[in-house]
Amino acid sequence: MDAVLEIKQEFGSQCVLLAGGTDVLPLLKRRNISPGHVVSLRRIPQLRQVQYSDEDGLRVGACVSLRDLNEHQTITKSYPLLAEAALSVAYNQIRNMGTVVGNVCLDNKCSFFNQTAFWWKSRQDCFNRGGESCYVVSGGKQCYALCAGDTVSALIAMDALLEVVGPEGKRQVPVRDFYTGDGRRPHHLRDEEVVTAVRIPPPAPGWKEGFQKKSARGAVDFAIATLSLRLRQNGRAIEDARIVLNGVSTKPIRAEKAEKHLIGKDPKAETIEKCLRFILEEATPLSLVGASAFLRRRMIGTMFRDLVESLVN
Amino acid sequence: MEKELLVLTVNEEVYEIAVKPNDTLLEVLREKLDLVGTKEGCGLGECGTCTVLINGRPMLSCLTLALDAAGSRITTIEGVAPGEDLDPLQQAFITHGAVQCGYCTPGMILTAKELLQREARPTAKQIKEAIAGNLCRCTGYIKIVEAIQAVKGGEGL
Repeated sequence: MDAVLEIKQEFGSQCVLLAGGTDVLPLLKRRNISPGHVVSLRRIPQLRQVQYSDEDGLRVGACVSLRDLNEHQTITKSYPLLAEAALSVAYNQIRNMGTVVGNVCLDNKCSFFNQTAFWWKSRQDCFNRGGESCYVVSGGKQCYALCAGDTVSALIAMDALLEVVGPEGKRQVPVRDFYTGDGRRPHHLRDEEVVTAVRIPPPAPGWKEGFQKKSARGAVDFAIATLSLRLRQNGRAIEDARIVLNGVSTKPIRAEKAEKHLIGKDPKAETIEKCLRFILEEATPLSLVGASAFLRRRMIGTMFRDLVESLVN
Repeated sequence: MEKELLVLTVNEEVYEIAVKPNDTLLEVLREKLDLVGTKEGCGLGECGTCTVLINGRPMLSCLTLALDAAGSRITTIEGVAPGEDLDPLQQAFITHGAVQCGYCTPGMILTAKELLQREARPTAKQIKEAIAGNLCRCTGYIKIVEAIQAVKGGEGL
């Protein structure tokens, strides 16, 4: 790790880190990015560890694959939401290679930006390529590339944290605070910093949880939307809730107004519908990467109603 | 770019080759080791054509840097048939009409082989989940699923 940090300190953004390679290599092959240096993290044993204790919860090293996470004995028992989210990523081979932390740090996706260098010869550069326009939002003043990681909404719903290491030492950042909403620079991560692990608190009693991902083919594709829902009820009344979306905008959405609306109330149809209206207000879905904003809004509605019905008593 | 020496174990044989740091495993298998059974489809991780087994798990050789494969056990389609005969899974593909152009077949077989090693009698749903990343433009997948279901769970590869 020290060697990695030294290299990162010297080369900053000119050095890209390689874990599973399923995001970085396509970016390199298309020449979406052209860093001078690529550093592989694959032979650093401490990044491959999964640790669990009842006091501290789960700690997943940066190079733990989605497959290895799902085969860890505690996951299906204590963190079924994360297991389900991890299983929804792409397909078999990608899950064998790709890592959980890599999914959190996935570069934002765009139907335009993620074309090849040859394709880009035919048009002016967008913001993400150093130009002055966006092809996704006409007249847009920022990069609107999509935050696409499928495990992200589950991690935020479970109050997960990232461990980040840099020249100034270690820090912890809640996953919900990691995203900037700017497609050009999607993560609050300095050029010299490395995410070394994701931590999830120990499971708390009384919560029911559910996850859904909608995508064109049911596998392989990026999401139309992903929704993670956690509810704690006292009798019929909802005591606490976590409603988190990803795959719909430039960063994940934790629908806090919607959550607050549910607290203390019975999950009657009119409450749920009002809650959904709050979610859709907070969501600001975009049209790119295989789905229109319209489709995203419809799918969010379908998923939310389905999940609520399956979870509440 | 300067070449580095890579020691690669493929189908239980050890190869020593000089590779560039940005050579992918797919390029090395095909162009340096003449193991052309592994094919390139999209080159970007969207089709599964280039699937090989790395330490027994299906992975994409087009997205694996050759140098990162050092120290691992790699299995390509050439390593499936035991000697001169076909593996039962390969025979099932032929018997059930699961091969048309054959381009997806090497990747499909390797993915299916690993499935059968962990699930002796997979359901159609389990098969479809396992092969979801191996795209086939010819067969419509029905015969492929039938062929995999027809094979009894695997002896070690």
